[in-house]
Amino acid sequence: MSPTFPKGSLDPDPPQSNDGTLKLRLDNSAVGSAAAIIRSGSGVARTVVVRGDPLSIPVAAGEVTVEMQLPSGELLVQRVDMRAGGEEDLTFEVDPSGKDWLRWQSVVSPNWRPRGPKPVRSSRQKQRSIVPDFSYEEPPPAWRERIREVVRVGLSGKKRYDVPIPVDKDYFALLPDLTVEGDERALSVTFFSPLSSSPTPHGKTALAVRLQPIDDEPALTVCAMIPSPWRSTWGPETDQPQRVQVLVQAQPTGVGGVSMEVIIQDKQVGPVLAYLGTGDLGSAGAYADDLQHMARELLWEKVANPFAAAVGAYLMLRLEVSELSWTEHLWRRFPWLPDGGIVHAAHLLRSANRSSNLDVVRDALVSAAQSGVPFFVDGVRRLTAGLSQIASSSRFKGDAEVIGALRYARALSSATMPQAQCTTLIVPSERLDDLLFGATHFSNSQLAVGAP
Amino acid sequence: MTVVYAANPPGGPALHALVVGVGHYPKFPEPGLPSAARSAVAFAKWLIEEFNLPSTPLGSVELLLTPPPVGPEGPDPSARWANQAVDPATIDNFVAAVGELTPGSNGWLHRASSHEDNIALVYFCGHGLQKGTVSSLLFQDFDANPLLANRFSNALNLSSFAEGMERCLARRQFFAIDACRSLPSWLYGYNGSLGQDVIAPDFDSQPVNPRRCAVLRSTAPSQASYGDPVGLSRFTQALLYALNGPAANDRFNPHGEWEVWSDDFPKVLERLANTGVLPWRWGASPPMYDVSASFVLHVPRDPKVPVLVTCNPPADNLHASLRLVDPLGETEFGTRGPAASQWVYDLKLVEFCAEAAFVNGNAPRRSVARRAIPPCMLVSLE
Repeated sequence: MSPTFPKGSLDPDPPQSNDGTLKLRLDNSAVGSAAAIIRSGSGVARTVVVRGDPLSIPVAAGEVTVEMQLPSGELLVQRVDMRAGGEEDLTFEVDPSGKDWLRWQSVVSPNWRPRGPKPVRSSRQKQRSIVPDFSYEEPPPAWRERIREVVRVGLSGKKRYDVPIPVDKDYFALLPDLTVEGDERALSVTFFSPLSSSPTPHGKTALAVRLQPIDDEPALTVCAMIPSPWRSTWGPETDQPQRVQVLVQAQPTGVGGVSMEVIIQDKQVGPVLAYLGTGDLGSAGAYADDLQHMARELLWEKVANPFAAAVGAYLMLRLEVSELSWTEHLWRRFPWLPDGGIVHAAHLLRSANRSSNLDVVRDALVSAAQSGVPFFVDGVRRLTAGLSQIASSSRFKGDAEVIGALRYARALSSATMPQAQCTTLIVPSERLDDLLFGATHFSNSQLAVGAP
Repeated sequence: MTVVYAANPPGGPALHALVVGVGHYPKFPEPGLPSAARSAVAFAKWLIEEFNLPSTPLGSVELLLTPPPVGPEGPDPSARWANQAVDPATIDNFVAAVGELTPGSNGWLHRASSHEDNIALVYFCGHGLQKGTVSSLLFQDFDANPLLANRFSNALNLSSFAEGMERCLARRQFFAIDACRSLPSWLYGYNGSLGQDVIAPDFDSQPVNPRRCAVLRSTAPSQASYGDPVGLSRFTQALLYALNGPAANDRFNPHGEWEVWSDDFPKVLERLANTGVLPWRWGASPPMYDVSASFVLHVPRDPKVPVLVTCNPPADNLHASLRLVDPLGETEFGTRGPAASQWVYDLKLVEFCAEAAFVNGNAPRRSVARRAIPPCMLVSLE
């Protein structure tokens, strides 16, 4: 087989006398970072992470080509002639959207990438903030245990709104931002927590958002998981709260003409999620060392972002790096987080002694399915794949919990938007609550009847 | 079963391919897909004639092909396999072609499982659907009749199939799926199976070592994939072009050899479209992975990359003769006379000099020296 690929490492060769210095910079502080491949006239190509601050790299004299792979999937290429002992600045200007408020989204998400001719930016495009036409409503009966707020947002005109959510602060201490760019239709937007136990000590956070176009046929609902609160994982901002944005936009291809996406504005993990989403392992691998370090810090309780640790664990799975110590910690320390159990089971299933760990794999996957919807799409895929394997083992043949969990995972799979970064479900409105509250709840639901 | 290529004698690690092209759906009200049959034929030919991976040479190619109906001009030769009858792409033939893992089986799954270091490759071109993360590939006998108890009995559940492939001993697996991923409105409320699994998972008989599996899709979720009335599908055309050079990279080879890795295609295909090398843009439906894994898939024997040469301002192209030569000016690679557009020339990975000489002899000659590297080179003569 091919050797395991050494992705993400800087060239270990010591600087040579005929080297010059290349100073690479990403000119978009909002985006934070992106992976780049550097090819010089001699030597092996290498992959680095480029951020807002210039990154100095010794390269051999001659023609140097730098490919910057944006998290959205776009490839930018620049070249420079390097003189021996010289210094060259190379700045990648990333400003594809033409809309200030979409600068981040258009770079980290393929869904918001501008296509076709580059739009003309207008300095007069100002952010509007309005008080929406909202009203409190009664939550659906099945949700009363978990929901306190239903905010009905009315929109008018093709404007963009940052919507202040009129929440009861005693219940929700932390909420994501809601940004809506819409047309003339009414939406019902609901923040709630579908988890049976709370991820924060004081229990005040919203972990899912439901969007329902009103008066649309067929009646479909979009529901996205929100990894919140999100704390920064890198640099001087480590552990500071980061913006998590729920972006709602009128789009012809969306459900009822509206689409919704949850965007995490973390300069380190945001691009990694995007790279994993597009399958660009070469670029995601450039962040491996940083994410491994962050996840180990979590193990020692030095950082407090289990969502980011789960993303790190998904990345390590793709890069075939075993991380059993901290994935087990993630699962046991944060039992409310389905992705913890899923990613630990996935690491175990890739290990050589997986047969001897089958009981642990089973418990991790079943408990994850019973916890509810995974926060990341990779989790939905791996939950289904892992349970499918476990259910096929002679050891767990006929295990009712495994069978129930697998049916739940398959129902989730067929409702999950594959291109989203955070798990986003599209289902007929009357069936949403069958899926939201885990495998045990699902087994008693109408949706379970006839599910494969 | 139609094995159109078999290495002789087999032995050692090898790539075993199963290629499917469905160019006609008699019971499906969607238009036929002549480009699907042509694309499958082209992909199988590429494997036989150009695939190169010294550590894992081509072991076998099995082909299922449903050509489009014969039109007034007679059969389309590019949508048929010459000199050999090929089984049609029905679901039963697919199940038979995959075969069993049991000793004595001569199906694709058994061949692919003959060595842990094999590569198992599946190529499919035809109609497809997607609901959530679950994809369904439709075979020739797919029947869209809504009164059927199981509308997807003649379809493949790609997601379950890929999960079941965990049983295959080949630890490198590559799926290239050229099919739509759209979601018809009636599927929102549909709660049944989306196709046959074909390979059921069996944990107890799975290989110990982890596998690397990449599933490359021709289009984004919920989007359509596009064919060509007279040529190949857009995705397959771009994929085959990229395999011969533009998708190669030297990032991970200690000797600087140019290799095509399994996880590099989407960005390369986008780059080729965005620079005008491909005569279309992917729009909202770029090729992407369902899941990706990283391994060397192909080593182009004589890689070439497109070099795009243009004068700046572009209006000067109308008055300039362009040529590509080696840096010493001794070997001319190609020339082009005055024209309105940029010039695209496929060049080996060599140092070159691009020159513009103007019809009006008074204008100074312009020249730029470069090294051709994938995925493509943009040269502006100012």
